Amino acid sequence: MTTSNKLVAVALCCGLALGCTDNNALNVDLRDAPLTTAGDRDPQTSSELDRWLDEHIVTPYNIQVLYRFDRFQYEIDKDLAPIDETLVIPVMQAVLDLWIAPYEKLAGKAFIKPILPKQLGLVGSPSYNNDGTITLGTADAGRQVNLFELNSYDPTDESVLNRMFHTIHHEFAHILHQRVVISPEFQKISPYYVGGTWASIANTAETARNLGFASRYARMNYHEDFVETVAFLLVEGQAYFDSYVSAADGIGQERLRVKEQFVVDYFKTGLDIDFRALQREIAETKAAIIATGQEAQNQ
Amino acid sequence: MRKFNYYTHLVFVAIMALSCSKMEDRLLIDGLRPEERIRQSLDSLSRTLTGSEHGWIALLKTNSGYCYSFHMAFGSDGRVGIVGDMNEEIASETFGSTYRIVQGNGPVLMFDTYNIITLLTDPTPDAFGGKAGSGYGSDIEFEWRAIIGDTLSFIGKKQQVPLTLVRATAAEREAFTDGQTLPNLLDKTIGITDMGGEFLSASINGIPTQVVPMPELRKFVFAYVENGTLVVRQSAFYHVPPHRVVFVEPMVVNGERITELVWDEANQRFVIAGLDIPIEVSEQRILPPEQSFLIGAGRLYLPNMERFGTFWSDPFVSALNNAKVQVEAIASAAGVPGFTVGEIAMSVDFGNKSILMVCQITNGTNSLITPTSYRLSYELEGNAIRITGVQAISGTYGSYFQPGMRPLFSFLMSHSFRLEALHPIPGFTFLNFVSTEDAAVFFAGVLL
Repeated sequence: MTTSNKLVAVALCCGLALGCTDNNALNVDLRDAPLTTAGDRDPQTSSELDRWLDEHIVTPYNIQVLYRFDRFQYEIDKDLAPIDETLVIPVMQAVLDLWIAPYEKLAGKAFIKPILPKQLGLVGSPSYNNDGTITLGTADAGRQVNLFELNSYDPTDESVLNRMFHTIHHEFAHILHQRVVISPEFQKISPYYVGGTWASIANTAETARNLGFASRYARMNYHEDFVETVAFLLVEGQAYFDSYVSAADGIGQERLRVKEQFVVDYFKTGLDIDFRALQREIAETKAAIIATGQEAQNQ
Repeated sequence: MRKFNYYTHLVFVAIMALSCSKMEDRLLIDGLRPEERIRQSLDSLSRTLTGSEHGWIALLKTNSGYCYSFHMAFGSDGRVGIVGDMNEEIASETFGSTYRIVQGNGPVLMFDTYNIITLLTDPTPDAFGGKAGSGYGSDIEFEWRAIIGDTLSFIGKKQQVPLTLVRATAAEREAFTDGQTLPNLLDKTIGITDMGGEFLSASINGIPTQVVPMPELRKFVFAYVENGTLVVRQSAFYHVPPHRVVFVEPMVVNGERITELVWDEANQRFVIAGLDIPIEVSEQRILPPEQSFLIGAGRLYLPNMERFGTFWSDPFVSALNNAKVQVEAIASAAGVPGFTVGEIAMSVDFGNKSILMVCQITNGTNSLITPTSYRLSYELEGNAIRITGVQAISGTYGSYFQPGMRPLFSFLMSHSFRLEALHPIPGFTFLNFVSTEDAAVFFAGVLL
């Protein structure tokens, strides 16, 4: 490089450095001018509800609860209704009791805290799909779980609790298998996956059961098959699963039992969790929630 | 060449230095940075909403054509209290929820937890009716478009529905919180909920006109006969308590443009605003019974009987009884043995060319509380009516019992029916449906 070129290079650097100098503040302080009227803790205000969430969810588990509707958190073309505020605490208490606490008890804080989603979206209505089905929950890369149809929450109704927590444990099982992969052997147990056409009338509940699937949706792919098996065993429970298996034909029964054992082994060897103890913990808590709910209703 | 390069480089450096300097004073609009201007516009809307002493009257027109009015009181704590005239049960109840004003293309008013505005967007038919997946075609986020005097205009962000907020008076606020709904006013005139057999009419430029309020369908119908032809005008409306009914589409009746009805408290009746024409109550229909039924100004009742004297032909009795047997089987399987089809009511939704059929499912003493309802689409063939399809109404037991009701629906859809009025008992009008293909096939009901 010649001297003149060196001089030019130095001048260029000086020019750039000087040109970028700004004596004024670059921007206003957004804490003084948030782009919403909801206060400086956007999107939440500091209500009693927010303080409860801070104490029970945000501080101990580092989960942000998105209960105030934000269309951009969900599929933008869907018509959705927000959650009823009065249901946020009961729903989140049940989330703690029936999802987080059982895992925490059996696997420890160190296991559960890093893998819990960081955002939980709460939506009042279900999300209707074009094929006539509805979506009850979604999980985005393990970072955010969205729960739908929460305005139907009723702690006295086991079918409501099953529907809601089936969704949660289903989505959480997705997070688990993203950390510890499912052995390819699992997909060989009943390799009759049909992808997006699982909702077609040809895939009846009876067909799915006799092929060894825990539900029609389990035929989507082997990931859904695995998490559906986990969710049914944990939430609807062993008695339900046994009765479901006994209604299948011979080969269907055999496949469902192999999948059940696969899940138990996966939790033990992959996650060091006693799956049977987890099942018992959830069953006992669910019974207690229903009993408390019914007691409150009768008062 | 080297010298040329040297100068070129110097010019380049000078341009770079100048281009990076921030001369924002010349670029700012009104001396404010973009985020400051955004903040200003959000604050402006917030101050306006919270600054109305008696709150706001809100008028919302959904994409399903239904219009609703509300009273809203916005607090500076991010909460809003809303009272709406959506139905009698919740007419005077205040629903609280959170709201936010956020930045979109402009300030956006957002109802971000559940209330009666979000009820209209609820895609679950069990919540408040509407279509599965889309509700009433309404919005919960509204972009602020204009302020004119005491009126704020918003447009929904997803469904583009218009929302208008008008500064309320103390009387208007009170009327909402007292539950002074349109059916309450109508009760004072014709006792519409009791099916009292009274009718509303007006003489518009000397032409007798039937006035039919349809609060459940959120519309009014004006019908009259001109040169022997039935003319029907209809419009959705906003009821602005305590005393105004504002039509969304002005109705032209016999050359007169009708935009609003006003309640006349002294005489306990409505008056057509601007024309000073009273809406009178009469015990007689202006239109013939067949035409009254076809515009929705009358309901047809089929009594809970095995055979309604000579007014039901054998084919109809057979179809109805088959349906009763099958519905009873479905009810038994569901754990309510002995329940079957009782009284049936039919009324026409003229605008949607459909008949609303509400069936009582009863054991003779008790009834299932939620009705079993269907929407029967129809076509007019000259003077005859042909049922072309049946759709169960969501939020009722319609779809549950539809397989059992099939014999009755098959009967109704296999004929074209001519309507004829009968007067077998003084003071009562029957409407007889007679098959145009076979006069021995017919059934009649009482027209109320």
